[in-house]
Amino acid sequence: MSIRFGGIEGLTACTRVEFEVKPGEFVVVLGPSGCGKSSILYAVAGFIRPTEGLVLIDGTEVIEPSADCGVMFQSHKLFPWKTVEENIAIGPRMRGSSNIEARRISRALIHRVGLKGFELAHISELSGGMTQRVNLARTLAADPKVILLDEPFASLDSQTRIDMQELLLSIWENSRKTVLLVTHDIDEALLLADRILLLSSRPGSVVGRFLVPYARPRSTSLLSSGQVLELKSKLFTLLRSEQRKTTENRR
Amino acid sequence: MVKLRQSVLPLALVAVLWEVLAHAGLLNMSFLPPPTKITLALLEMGASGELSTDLIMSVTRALGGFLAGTVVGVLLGIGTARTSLGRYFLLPVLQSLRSIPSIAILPFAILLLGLNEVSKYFLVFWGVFFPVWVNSHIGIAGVDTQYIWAARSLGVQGWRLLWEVVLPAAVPLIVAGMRVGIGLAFLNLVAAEMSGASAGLGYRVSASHLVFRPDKMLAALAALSLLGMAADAAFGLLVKRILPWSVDRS
Ligand SMILES: Nc1ncnc2c1ncn2[C@@H]1O[C@H](COP(=O)(O)OP(=O)(O)OP(=O)(O)O)[C@@H](O)[C@H]1O
Ligand SMILES: [Mg+2]
Repeated sequence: MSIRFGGIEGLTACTRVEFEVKPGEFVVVLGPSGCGKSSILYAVAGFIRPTEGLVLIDGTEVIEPSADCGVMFQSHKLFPWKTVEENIAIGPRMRGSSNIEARRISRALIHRVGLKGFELAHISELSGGMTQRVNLARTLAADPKVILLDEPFASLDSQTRIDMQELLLSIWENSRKTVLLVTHDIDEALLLADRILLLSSRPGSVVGRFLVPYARPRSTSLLSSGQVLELKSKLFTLLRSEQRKTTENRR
Repeated sequence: MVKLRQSVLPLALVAVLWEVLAHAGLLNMSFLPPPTKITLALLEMGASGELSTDLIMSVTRALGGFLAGTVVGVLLGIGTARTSLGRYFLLPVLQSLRSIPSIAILPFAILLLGLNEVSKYFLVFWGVFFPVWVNSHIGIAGVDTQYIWAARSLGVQGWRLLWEVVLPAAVPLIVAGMRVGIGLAFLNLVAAEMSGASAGLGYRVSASHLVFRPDKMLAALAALSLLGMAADAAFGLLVKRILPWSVDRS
């Protein structure tokens, strides 16, 4: 697909991006800032339509947002007028669960993401790390076919980010949901992905596809082991040169 | 808003000064009766049952018109912000009506509806409706798209999207519009009561003028002032209780 904003004369966010994600696969889209990562994700979610091309999920074209795609935004977008528990219970309720059942699912997930005791808290009372835990739980609770994550941990401090990455890893390794995550963080990509798609600077297009062969279950100690060095330096060089183009384009 | 408690001392000082000046012969007592006389008038009105009748009439009219104005304001706000019929047809009509200072509609309302309760409720409604509608429209049209996206990808659709996401997100602005509406409700209420009624605080103000009872007139004005402050404070408390997130952000 290609995505252009503002008509023919407008700005091209990404061009001829083509990829496939298999069921149960964790794919990371890695790219420099402003290369169209969010736009690609939004098109997959059905928030925007690609200018050219299309998105298929299980062979059906995506034309509008639906519960098939769970999305976790970079800034949390939790609803401040609902409690933690109510935010997480939305997905199950919309799928037709009774209120009691939805609440049970919600509580179990609150427990799973380590927020026991905060069920009735309001969103404004939570720290950044805690809101992203709720955000993750809310997305998981809706049990979507595909989970889309837009730089979910970019706004967190490095310690909290590592905690969250390990949490996501352990949840994913148990559930094997289909995940598409975009990031500009190489370590994050190496830690989480089965496969990495490297995007060029804007207009983004796929300039590299890499298998990430490390054994699972993984943990953050993977990143300090020798086995990642080769792929990491390769990605670093490529991303660096794309990032430089971004900076030059801006001048 | 100035806290009620903080206004006690300054008001007491003004009252004392007024009283002293009046008794010193520096104020014309028959036009500007001192606070003691006003208090006496208030007590007299209380004893005769006049005050409670006036209060009940005014509060009922203000509350009825306010609720109607709020409900219709929010409903039409949804209409103009989220439907194309509303946006292209209703919006321009309402905008031109809004430019009429709402009191100016009074004679026309009386002509159309008669000099009765209906026209009074209507006038209060008319004053409350516009600020509530405008703020609802702005609040609803301006809801963060990502809230809506997030909700839709959780499976929220249709009326639920409106009820669970769009309206709550717009609530801080709607509440602000209602607050402006309270002020306008009293303004229009008094105007309506002064131009023909048999009870109500606004009626009392103009009736006291006709029988030359400035003490009663000032007593009625004081009651209006208290009522206005009480309404605002009560509204603030209510909002804090049932819509806490709308206070957190502002
Ligand atoms: N709705 C829109 N209208 C016009 N231009 C847009 C719109 N959304 C994004 N863009 C532009 O498209 C380009 C790609 O944006 P996008 O947000 O997809 O990039 P990104 O890779 O997610 O960036 P970041 O790393 O900052 O999150 C940017 O230049 C952006 O300004
Ligand atoms: Mg982005």
